[in-house]
Amino acid sequence: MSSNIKYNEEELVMLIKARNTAAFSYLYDNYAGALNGVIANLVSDQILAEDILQESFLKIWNNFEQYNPAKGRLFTWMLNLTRNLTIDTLRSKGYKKQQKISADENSVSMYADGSYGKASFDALGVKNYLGNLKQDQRVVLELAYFNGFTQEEIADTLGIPLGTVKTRVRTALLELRKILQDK
Amino acid sequence: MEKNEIISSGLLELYVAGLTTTEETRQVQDWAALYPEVATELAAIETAVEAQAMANALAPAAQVKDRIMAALATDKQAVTKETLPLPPIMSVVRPTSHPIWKWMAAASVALLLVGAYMAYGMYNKNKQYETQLAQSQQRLDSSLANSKLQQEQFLTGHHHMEAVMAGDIAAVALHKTDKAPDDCAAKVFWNKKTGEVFIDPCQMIAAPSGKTYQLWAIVNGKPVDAGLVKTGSVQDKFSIQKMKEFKEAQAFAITLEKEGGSAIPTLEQTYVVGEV
Repeated sequence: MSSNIKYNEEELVMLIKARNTAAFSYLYDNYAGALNGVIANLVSDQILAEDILQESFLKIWNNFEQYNPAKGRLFTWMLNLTRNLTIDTLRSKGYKKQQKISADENSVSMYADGSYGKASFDALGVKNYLGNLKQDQRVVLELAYFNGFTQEEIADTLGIPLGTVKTRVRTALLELRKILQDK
Repeated sequence: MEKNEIISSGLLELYVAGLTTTEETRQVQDWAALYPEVATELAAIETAVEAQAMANALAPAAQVKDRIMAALATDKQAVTKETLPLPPIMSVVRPTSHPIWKWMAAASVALLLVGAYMAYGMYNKNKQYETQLAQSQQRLDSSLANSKLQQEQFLTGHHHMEAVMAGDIAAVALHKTDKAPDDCAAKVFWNKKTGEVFIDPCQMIAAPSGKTYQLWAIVNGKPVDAGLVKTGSVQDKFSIQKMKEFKEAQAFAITLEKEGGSAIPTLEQTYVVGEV
């Protein structure tokens, strides 16, 4: 199965490189929710979040030639592009990086504004399993992958030495992988 | 560093997050190319991050997609569903195993059933119907032969696509010239390392009978034959074709030539051209 999924990603990349809009529409349907979740974590203004999502996908389309499968999966590239665009947009509007930790144990997403789109969907059915991840591990993953914090900022936020950021991220990811595997 | 040290260093996790320095990034990419274990580890990290992002997904407002697709429609290079329907998309949309074959198998079975039903009816009726049976079976045969042909073409296309995806590929867009009678375009995928050249002629109109398209590589100002480009039936339109290999080229062009191709391009029949 996994080889099939990979093959399909290659095919998708191939078709989008050939400027196929139907393939791009498929890409949007599959990944817009995940990228929108990343944006919503950082932006509580819904109109602004929508604009950023739109900009992100147009950037993905316009810069698709730059995506190199040898350097990583398509989603990673889209994730980093979207996250960086979100941070740049916020910075240009004078926002500072913020991190609000919700006390809600079941909330994987810790920054979402309560008023905004609670109708999240769980494409891989892993949301409940992620609840098993320890709070501090969830936080470190969110900071590194979804909030675009630098190593220094992560160290500051968590109050840990810079040198241990790497190990913290790795430990949290190993735990996440274990949870994903067990399900 | 030993590969186990690399894997447990935590650097790969930072690489996926985009938190490595330029030097570290290059190093991780070198390691991934060198050690399959490192590449596998990277893929596992990426998959886990992707799963977490999926679990955090929030359905976006419907109008966002409408706005994006409307913006794409103004992109001149965009290929819309109408001009490129296609086998490949079907398998993208349904990620289970080879749905095209399943579809073809189902179609074949359905055709067989229709054929059998008709045969039964005709057996009990008259000779007039027997001719129809013959015709229907002929159609069935040619449809089965067609299915087989499509299957083969799909496999070849897939093989070429893998080759195209395999390395550092430069995509060269060939644009219509004033001499082309209709709207057309093509894309060349060129692996500068291996010299492999592939052509995707999906937006070329079928060559008129007795004529053929020929690809030329412009090497130091001189056109060099790169092989004949097949176009024609619907399924041919989508197949990416392997052409002659070039280590060096500054541009690619397609001309319309007599069947079998020419040694020297007919420049006044240059349809599309693109610089590398």
